[in-house]
Amino acid sequence: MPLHLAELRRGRIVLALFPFAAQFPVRPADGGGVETVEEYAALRRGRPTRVAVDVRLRPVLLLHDRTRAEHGDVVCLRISSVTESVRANASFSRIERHEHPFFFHLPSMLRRYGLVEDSVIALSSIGTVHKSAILGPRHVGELTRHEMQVISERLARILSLDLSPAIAARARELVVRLAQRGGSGAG
Amino acid sequence: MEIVEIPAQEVRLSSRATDALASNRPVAVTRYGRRSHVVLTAHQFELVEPLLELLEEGAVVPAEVLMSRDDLELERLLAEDREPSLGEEALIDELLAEASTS
Repeated sequence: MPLHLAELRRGRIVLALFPFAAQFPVRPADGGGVETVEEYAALRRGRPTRVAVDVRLRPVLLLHDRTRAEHGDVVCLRISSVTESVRANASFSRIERHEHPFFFHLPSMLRRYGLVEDSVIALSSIGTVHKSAILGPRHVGELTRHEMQVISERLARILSLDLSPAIAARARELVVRLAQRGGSGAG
Repeated sequence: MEIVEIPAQEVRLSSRATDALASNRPVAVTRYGRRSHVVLTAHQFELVEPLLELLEEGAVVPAEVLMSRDDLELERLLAEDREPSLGEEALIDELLAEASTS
């Protein structure tokens, strides 16, 4: 049973079929093998090709609302369980203390996140999943608005998004509005 | 970058710390197990000062430049996370059971 559209909200955790990045050599379904991207480009140009790519049903964090039927894809972040090798990594203690700007820690809280084990989100693991590839009948967990704010700030940083012009424009707009309000109050 | 300079007599470092600095290894000072300060040699600081200035100015610095080798290794480990955990398997069973009854 697919997930109901109303469930597809920013900040929710769902189980979805998430692909591993395709890498060469690839084996097209219509036969043969292609060793390099240059070889692929020469053979296939920009035409779509069916290749075998590994996927895995796993928890993902939805990054935006996709409650309208017109959209097929949902942008999300991959969620990984903390394994022994992850825990042994020198960066993990910073992640656990919520001090690491490029990862986000989800402690094992079944009621909130719906995840039995400690988990980690690498903020660089953005991907898309198709709505038909999300396992229903419900989302399994949800992040708070504050947690999503932290995720947004870290995403802006890891993607090197320059938000300063937008912030400056918004600040100017607020100053003008405050000045207008002050002016109308004085009159 | 505005730096407060103080004479060496005002700082007391253990021999372990001075030995590490002498061999160009940074020294992290911890408080209750958390890093509060990191001491670098002057040469090491010269290398990172431009980056600190950029960050202080709020310039957009590519995230990759700010990642340590451990961070990159962790990213790789997480990207190669192919085995479902026991919890994930249990969650799949739970959702399938709920889907079949609803």
